Amino acid sequence: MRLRKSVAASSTILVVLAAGCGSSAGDSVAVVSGVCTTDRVGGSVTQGTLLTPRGLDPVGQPGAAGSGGTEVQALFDTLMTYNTESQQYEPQVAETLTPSEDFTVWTMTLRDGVRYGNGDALTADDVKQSIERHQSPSNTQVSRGEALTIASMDVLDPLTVRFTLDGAYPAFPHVLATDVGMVTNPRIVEAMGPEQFALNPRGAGVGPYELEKYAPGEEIVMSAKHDYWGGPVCIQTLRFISIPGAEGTLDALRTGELDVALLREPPAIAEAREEGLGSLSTLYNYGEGVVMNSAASRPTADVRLRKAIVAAVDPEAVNKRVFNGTALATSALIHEDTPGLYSGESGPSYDPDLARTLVNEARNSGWNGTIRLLADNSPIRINEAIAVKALLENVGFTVELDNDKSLAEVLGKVASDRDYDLVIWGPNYTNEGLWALMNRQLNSQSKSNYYGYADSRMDEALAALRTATTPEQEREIVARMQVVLDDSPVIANFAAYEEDNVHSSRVGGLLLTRGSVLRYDKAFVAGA
Amino acid sequence: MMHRVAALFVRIIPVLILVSLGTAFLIELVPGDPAVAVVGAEGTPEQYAAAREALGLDRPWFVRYFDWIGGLLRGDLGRTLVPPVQDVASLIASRLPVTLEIAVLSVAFALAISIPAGTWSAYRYGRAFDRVASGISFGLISIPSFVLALMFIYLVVFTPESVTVLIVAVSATAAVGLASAARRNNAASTARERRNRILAAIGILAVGVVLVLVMPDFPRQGFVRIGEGGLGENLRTVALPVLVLGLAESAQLTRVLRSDMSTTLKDDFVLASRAQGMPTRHILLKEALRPSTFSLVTVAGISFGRLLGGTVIVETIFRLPGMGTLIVESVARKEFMVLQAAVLTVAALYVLVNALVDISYLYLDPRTRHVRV
Repeated sequence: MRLRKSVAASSTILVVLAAGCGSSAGDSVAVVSGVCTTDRVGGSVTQGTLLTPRGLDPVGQPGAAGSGGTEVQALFDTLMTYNTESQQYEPQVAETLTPSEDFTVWTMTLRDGVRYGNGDALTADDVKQSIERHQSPSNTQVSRGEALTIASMDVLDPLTVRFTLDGAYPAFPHVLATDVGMVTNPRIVEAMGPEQFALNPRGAGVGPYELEKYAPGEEIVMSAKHDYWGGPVCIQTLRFISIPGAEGTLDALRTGELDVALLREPPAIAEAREEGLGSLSTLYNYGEGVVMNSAASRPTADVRLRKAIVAAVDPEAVNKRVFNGTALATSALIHEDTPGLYSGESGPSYDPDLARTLVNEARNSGWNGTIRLLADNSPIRINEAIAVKALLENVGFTVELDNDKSLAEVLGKVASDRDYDLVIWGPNYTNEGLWALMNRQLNSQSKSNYYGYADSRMDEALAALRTATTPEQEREIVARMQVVLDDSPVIANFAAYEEDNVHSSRVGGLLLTRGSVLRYDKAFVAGA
Repeated sequence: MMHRVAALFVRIIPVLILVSLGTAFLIELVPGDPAVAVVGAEGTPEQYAAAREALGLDRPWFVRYFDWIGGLLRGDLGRTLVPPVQDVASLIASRLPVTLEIAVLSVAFALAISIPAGTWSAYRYGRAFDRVASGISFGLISIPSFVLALMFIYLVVFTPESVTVLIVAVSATAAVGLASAARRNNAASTARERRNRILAAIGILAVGVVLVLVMPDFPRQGFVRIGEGGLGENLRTVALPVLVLGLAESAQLTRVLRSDMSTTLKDDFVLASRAQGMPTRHILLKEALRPSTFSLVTVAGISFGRLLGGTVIVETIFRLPGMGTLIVESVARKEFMVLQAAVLTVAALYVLVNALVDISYLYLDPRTRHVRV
């Protein structure tokens, strides 16, 4: 009898315990404001990234936040920085950057007393050697093109460098706000060699963090520098991991395993915002669309077909079918939400009747009506490709869809082999550094123009964009580009897209800079 | 016996050569170009061509394979093609322990469930426990591991209170059931058996209380190495994947053992033991279990080998840096040296485990020691 009583008592205890173990999830706090101060020092932050970086050497990086941009920013800092709120470039590791009257010569003075993680002082000569690494032919990344705008560098004194450019470039601070402006300690680079340096750049940066652990494909761990020139650095440990899939990343934010995450998929971003997570977003124009290969051997060399494709693709239809209406649907070069760059120009209209007429004209000229559409095998791209195929076939195209290839394979077919008619693609133009981004892809003389696009009016507009000195001038030129693209299209755009650094309420002081890259030097953890 | 063990190991060598050759051939058939990943999207055609030449991708696959074999014989497994450039041996050395730990713990967990459950099911063949155990086994066999993983994530990570309620419900039900059985004045059960049932009921409740009190928060994803976060933290991060994989494996192991043991329990030597009045525990554990474990050991060995190859979906869901994800990433990037080395490592371990299973037969059934190979 006593034993049975024990069983009953134990059961009661279990029920009471179960009732007491309710979840406290769902509490929400407003996002904290302010920046790092000495009384906020402490805590750690884990950020979810999109892709694992190609090492931690700024040379050889694609320069995007999604593939290591924020990580190298934390280790190396940049000479200049882009303030996304004021849309101005500001000195960061540099103290001043002054142009000549014609914007062809720029003189930069470094802050005094800036030191690398290993204690070496940062010098003007280090800046020169570091940028020369970016200019080297062995660097195949975007940063080489950026660095090659510098024709020569002269070290005037230990803290002063004079840059002579290959032409007038009023937006030159952009170059020093990218990976090119991340100075690497040349003595450490030389001692280690570039491959080992990319795996272990400890002590070689002047950024707010020092590398603690780099396990490619697993995690990157950094610790705060106590002698950072712009200190104090509040968050003591920064950890970067990559979680596959936007849903998995959102789950990790919900459980607190992630504090910050870079998201790219519109439905996931919308979900995160609905849940009250903090948002630091960057808008990419010409974000998603159908790029048309204009090279001579392709059917789309015929501008009538390119116009037909643009007229056949309905951005709203793609948005509803693929993104549940959460994307920034537009056919325009510049989406209306783009800060400071939207000039009121709308893109080409959805006009299936015009598309049918143009398709028939092309058929009558001898084209067989068939066109190949390439897309990578990610779920969103597959859905986009299916939606585009339906829209094109609606106006008389016969579409051969190839959507079973990985992103790497599609990249090979597009960028290396240039073997495609149409590809679901996003050129991705931010308003920061716009000329550099567009010039690579749309200038008829660019070696990286794998769209085969050549239009002298666009070349002229690009030349004008490089020398634009005011936002008004930029807006006027971009409006002119829209007219050129309406007449001679290269992409049937259906959405601008956002990259959003969403973050929990416990992290404050995050600074968004160019290309979705986050700066952690002023960030802090609430209540740490 | 030593001769037989040596012969087993000699047979491994040609298997490994064929596996590595087959891998090298198959990766060549995979579309893709590592040079694109090396150069990036903004390269020029000349840069892509130069990268292909520098990486040796312009040479035939069998030339690259024999180069790699030459390096392997010198202890050099090569380096990755796509930056960051890493030593392949170091890469495998960092991934293999994760997979080994998950595989060992999963199989151990599966055996810890399947041996008592299978044994008791066979003993109670066709009765309530057997029917319940069979139903659960079929259910687990039917559920794909990734569904099981997502269910566990939902329950354990996002609604931990539901797990608490589940533990309470299961332990209370089991305890009440045992207590009720003890209360019935069944002529077939002795006072000692009734007392044991009550004690078992209290034990189940105690386990339930302990579980509810000490159950930690399980992470949604990630892996902490023992050397970095300690054993406790390491076990916390592998608990859910091990639970998912172990449960899935335990279902089939339970079925296999139940089937073999139910046959063994009808053998003459078991009936003789019963006739001599041997207690049930002795009959089950000392007499019947060992001869019933041939199939169990074989299937457990195969399961272990399969887990070594990596359960890619589970590794991906829980973001475990194991061999499965390494192999898949290598295929996607066409990193042929990483792939060849990883597949060879897994194959070597697989055949080694199966060789050990073969050797274990010599222990399980002394008659096999006299069979010539």
